[in-house]
Amino acid sequence: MMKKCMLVLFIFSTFYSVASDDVSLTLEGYIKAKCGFTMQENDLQFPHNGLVSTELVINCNSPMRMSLHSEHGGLLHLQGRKVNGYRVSLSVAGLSLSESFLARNLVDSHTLNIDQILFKKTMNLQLELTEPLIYAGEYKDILRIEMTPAASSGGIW
Amino acid sequence: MKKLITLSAIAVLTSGTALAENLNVGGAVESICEVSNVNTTTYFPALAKDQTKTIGFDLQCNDADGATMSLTTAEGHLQNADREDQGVGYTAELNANPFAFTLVAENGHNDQSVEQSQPGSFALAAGGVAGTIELTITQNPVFSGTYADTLMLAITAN
Repeated sequence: MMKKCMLVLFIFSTFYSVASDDVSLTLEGYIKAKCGFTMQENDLQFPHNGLVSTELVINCNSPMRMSLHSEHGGLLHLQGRKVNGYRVSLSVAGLSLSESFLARNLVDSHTLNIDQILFKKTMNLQLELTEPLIYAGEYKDILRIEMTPAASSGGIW
Repeated sequence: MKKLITLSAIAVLTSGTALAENLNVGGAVESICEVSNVNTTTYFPALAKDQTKTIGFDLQCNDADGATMSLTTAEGHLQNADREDQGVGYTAELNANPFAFTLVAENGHNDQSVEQSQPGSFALAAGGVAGTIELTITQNPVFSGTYADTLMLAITAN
């Protein structure tokens, strides 16, 4: 009776060592490059001091390209058709990013490559008149801003 | 035996999502058309022919189309206080670049006016134009007494 019990235990042990195996799991993921931003203010009116600014909250998960385009190359005087120049300056607090452009140089869209990832970052956009508004009446321009992930091609123009 | 299990989560590969927004940029400038720093009283203590007085003023009109200036004499001459049909003639020559014209007030007809229109300019819009009105007495007074006229200087945006 004692011999029989010992034999059973041996067989079980042997079976256990043979049943081992290796499993490799390779896990991959992909996140689509995406750029978006919201503007604090979509309508900016120059006050008497000729200086106005707004903030852009940027959510871009990759390096990106930023394009700026001025429809008139300055503030178009609607009654007289004269164009008054202004300067566009942009900067991001805490980053070395700081650029400045004259609106007249943005008639042909200007593209800026940004190597840094601006995710949940606030960009300050400041506009400053380069010459005072003299003639009475209304002045208007449309500044178009586009942000595109740098890894992708094309845009949405 | 080895088992290889690959778990993938690859989405359809497309270009990244971009976003564009339009920022409307504007400004407004109120209309200003005015004459300032003008002395509104001019006095000839001993009225006589060929006497002159010069009145200075500053001019600003920021209408892009320019402005129209006018000089209007109320009495048509320097009218005698005691006899309205008696007076002394004078001319008022206005110079405020680019404006230049002369009002002749010698016949005593009320509300005679001369005006001139000029296109807009940066100097006129910015308020950097200084002007003068030179008054010249063209006739000798006959009667003693006080002579007076009201000369109105006006500027209107075109």
